[in-house]
Amino acid sequence: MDIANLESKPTKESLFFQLFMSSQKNLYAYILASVHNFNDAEDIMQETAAVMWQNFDKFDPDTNFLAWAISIARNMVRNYFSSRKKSRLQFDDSLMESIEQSAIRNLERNSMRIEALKKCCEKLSESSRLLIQLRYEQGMTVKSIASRFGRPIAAMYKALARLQDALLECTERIMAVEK
Amino acid sequence: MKDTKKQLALAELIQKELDGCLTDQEFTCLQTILKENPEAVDYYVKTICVISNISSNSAVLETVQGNSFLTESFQSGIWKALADAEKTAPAVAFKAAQMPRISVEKVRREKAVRKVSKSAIVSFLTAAAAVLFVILFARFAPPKGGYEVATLADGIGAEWAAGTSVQKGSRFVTGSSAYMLKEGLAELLFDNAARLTIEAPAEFRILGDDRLRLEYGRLYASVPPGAVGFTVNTPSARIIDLGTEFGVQSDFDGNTQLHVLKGKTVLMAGAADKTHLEVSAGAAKKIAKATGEVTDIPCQSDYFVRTINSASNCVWRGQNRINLADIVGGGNGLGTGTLDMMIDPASGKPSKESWGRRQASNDYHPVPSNPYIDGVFVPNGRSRQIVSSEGHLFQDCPVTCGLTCDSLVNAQAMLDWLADSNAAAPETSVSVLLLHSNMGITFDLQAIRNLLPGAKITRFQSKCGMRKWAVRSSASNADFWILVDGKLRHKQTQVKANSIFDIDIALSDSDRFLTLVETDGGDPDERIFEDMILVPIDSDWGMFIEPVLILK
Repeated sequence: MDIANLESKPTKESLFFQLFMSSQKNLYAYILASVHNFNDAEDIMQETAAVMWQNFDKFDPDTNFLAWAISIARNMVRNYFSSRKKSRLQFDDSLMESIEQSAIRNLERNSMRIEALKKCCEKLSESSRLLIQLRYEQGMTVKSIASRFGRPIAAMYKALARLQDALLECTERIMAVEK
Repeated sequence: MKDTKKQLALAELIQKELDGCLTDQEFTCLQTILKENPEAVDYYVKTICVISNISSNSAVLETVQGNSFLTESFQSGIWKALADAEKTAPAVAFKAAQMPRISVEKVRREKAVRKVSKSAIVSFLTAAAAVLFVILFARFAPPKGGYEVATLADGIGAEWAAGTSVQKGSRFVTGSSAYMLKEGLAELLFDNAARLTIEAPAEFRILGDDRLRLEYGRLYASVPPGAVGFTVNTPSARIIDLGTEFGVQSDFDGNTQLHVLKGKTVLMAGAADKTHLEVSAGAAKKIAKATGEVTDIPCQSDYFVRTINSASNCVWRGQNRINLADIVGGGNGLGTGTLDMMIDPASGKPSKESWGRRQASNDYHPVPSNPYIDGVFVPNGRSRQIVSSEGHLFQDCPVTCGLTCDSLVNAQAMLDWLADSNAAAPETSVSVLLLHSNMGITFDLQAIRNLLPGAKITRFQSKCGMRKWAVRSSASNADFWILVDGKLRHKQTQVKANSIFDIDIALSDSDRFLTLVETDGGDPDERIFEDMILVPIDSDWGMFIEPVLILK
């Protein structure tokens, strides 16, 4: 978000709020891609936001807020893994670097991706919508969804994978047309 | 990465890893795939973007929700169809060496309860904008489904869509079900103490313990400090509360109006919440669904119903005046009273008939038919004059003839009937409380406060005086007294016909009883014919014009 577009003389809190709100989805996507786990991503998101606020005075308004946020998040991710000794679950450094570069590259078009995603969701069948609602709106694990409807867990993962793949393909197609 | 089977296998691994359900072998497999194939890294990142955009973006989730009403039975049917489709779907797997057998029981991390770390809490507590983070993180909290978050606190004439069983005390549940209010008004009290008054026709969904989506309709939100961050989504905007009161209207085309009456909100509108604005008290915005354009509009303080009370049939739109004449008419001070309704000062009984002139004792009479009137009386000054149900006394009560005439009346009058006023619009009809001399009435301010929780009564204001025309002008002479909890706060003596004066009395939260009294002024009797004597109350046509309590 361009600071020049903000309302006149916002307070420090409101400026941070607006910048953060405009970047939150991308920052969360970056963290989720790095730690590949919902719970861990939420924890790191919280801690990253706290550090960002504490250091907001050091942020140069002429630079990119998301890049600054990601630089903080990167350290938070590393600290998180090292402090909790989750090395077995952590991708190695070279892969983390590849993921980070890909994330930054893809996040540049994330606003367009969200709009495309909305259009794709509108086209979903009722059963697919239901699956997304249970999984992402109601926060159910796949195991819980499978249990609720008496279906094999493996089948649920496959169904979700197919749906997720279809959504990705749909968004990419729309983004390619609207590029 | 064009191998569909590999894509699906990768997608499946990603889903499991997000749940923390990957086995060690599967994790190794995932890492190997990503390291060996740069396109897989892109696929992985894009997939994560799609997932995070769905899970952290309520606008996308709402697209998913659509207009379907997902009842349990409907879900079961849909799920059966989904299950049938799965049975015929081709298996997706990598070759055995790369894809070890999945053991879903071997979960390495249980899904943890979402928490804020201690270090973050310490940081927040020392930060001036701690509340800001509460708001921000509330946006990230994964919505939990199907749990109760609010109660129907009250309703007036509320009719819900068929099949929706909602009664006072009913609990509202998060999730995909839409609530449709077809008629009337409903007041929802969220468990975090946020209070919403909703006007029909309206349709809304509860998205979480601090989130609601208004498809169409009108609502007013009162959000206490503990519930800061409460969010209302509409088809064209999102409003996040920063400790405030605000009204939102969403029309059938999805256009939104936001009116902020207190405090501050953040308004987000347009594609991907492109527009961010702080909207503070006294400001209002209109958001066009088609373009996302945000424009300024006048803030209307009485546009939304703010509070309802079914017991008193009170519908408060933020009016800052309670009309005491309306209360005498059996109303709640907001215009629900009956014109020409009377209360007999000699008995406390309501009536639509006049009693004429009569002698009465000076007993204090409760008015059980009206919760906002403590009592009435006919003062004579010959014995102690009680003016409240708690025994407050009118110490300065003058001696009167003990007669009274007619009753206390909720009436309408034309300004030019009342006096030779210089009113700009003498034909204007105004509300008046008529009380002939030797009458008193005491209002229960606490009962009125209870009518509108949160409202503060700050003043009593009225014009007061004698009617323009008198049968015998020389005898039209009365005294007016205003008491609060028995203490004299204002008096105006020897008021003549065609005389109007202003009353403005400050009131505090501790003031309980407001008493208005008119006495006869002590005019001597006068014999005008052999058998006709005019008494002191003759021609004392007293009145309080627009007698109101001012609210803050």
